[in-house]
Amino acid sequence: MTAGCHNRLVLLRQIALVLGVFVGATLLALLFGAKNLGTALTFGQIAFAATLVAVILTSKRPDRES
Amino acid sequence: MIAHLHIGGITIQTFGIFFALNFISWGLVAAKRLGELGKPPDWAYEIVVAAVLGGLIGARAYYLIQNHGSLHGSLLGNVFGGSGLVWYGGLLGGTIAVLLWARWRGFFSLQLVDIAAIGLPLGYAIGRIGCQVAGDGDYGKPSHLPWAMGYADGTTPTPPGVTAQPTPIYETVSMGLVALVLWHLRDRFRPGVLFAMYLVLAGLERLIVEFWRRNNHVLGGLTAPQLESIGLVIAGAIALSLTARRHGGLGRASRGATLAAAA
Repeated sequence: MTAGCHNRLVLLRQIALVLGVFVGATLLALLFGAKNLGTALTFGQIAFAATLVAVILTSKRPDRES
Repeated sequence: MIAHLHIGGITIQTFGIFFALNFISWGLVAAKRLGELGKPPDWAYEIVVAAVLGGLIGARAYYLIQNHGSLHGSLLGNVFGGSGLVWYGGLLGGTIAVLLWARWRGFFSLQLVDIAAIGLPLGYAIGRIGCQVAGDGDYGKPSHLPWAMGYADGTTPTPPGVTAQPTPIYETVSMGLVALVLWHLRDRFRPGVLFAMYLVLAGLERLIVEFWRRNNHVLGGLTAPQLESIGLVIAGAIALSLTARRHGGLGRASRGATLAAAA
């Protein structure tokens, strides 16, 4: 696998992770009785941002592309 | 929505919590990037202090200029009043303050601007959580979409029974993804290109979201932030075009070039 291909896969995985956390936290908030979907989405929003910061701070430097 | 938290007799504004978290995240990301560039990570804290001070002054000044007709009382009372911060004013004030810091530190370079290109959308994404939780009026137009919601307890409450589009959520997700993509591309382009991309993407995001927000139209059916966004998109596109023409492309040759440019 080329460095460029690997880098794109890593990015796609990270995007999937933050969006997955957003959806998951929203569903959890609904499950635990959030007043409405908008309020549940707010919990998703907070979880999304927290995951995003964690992903950025823990990610390795992308491989060099030729 | 929860505009205030009362902890041990102290009232804390929830917007303020996310405002602080925005700058903390900014500092952590900047420290990591400075380390990658072979610069002292401690500089990140100096950058954050400069950005906070300049950003607050700029955001407040912009608000006072925009609303000078509707303000009452003394000038000092208005300047140090409790609310009224405008993002674009903060961006301008923060940028000027950080550039002054960079000049003092001898780090007046496009590398620094590219660090801001990641910190700005990340900070924006976190700051918008504060807008959403506080219900400060940055929500959208009245709507009956399944995810529309009321902000009855917000600092700028919606009327009873009225639900609005939660546009701060749209903005957190879109600008958060912009931050992630730009972070991923940080070594791929020539210095300054990341920031030009940020200008284009941030401008497009705000231009689109404004169609759901409730700001007044000022010219040609567009709101003031939309006009400012068009300016950002044009500035970014010009910068990208000039860089591509001058260097025959936007890409950088190697990671060695990153370190060489930073040295």
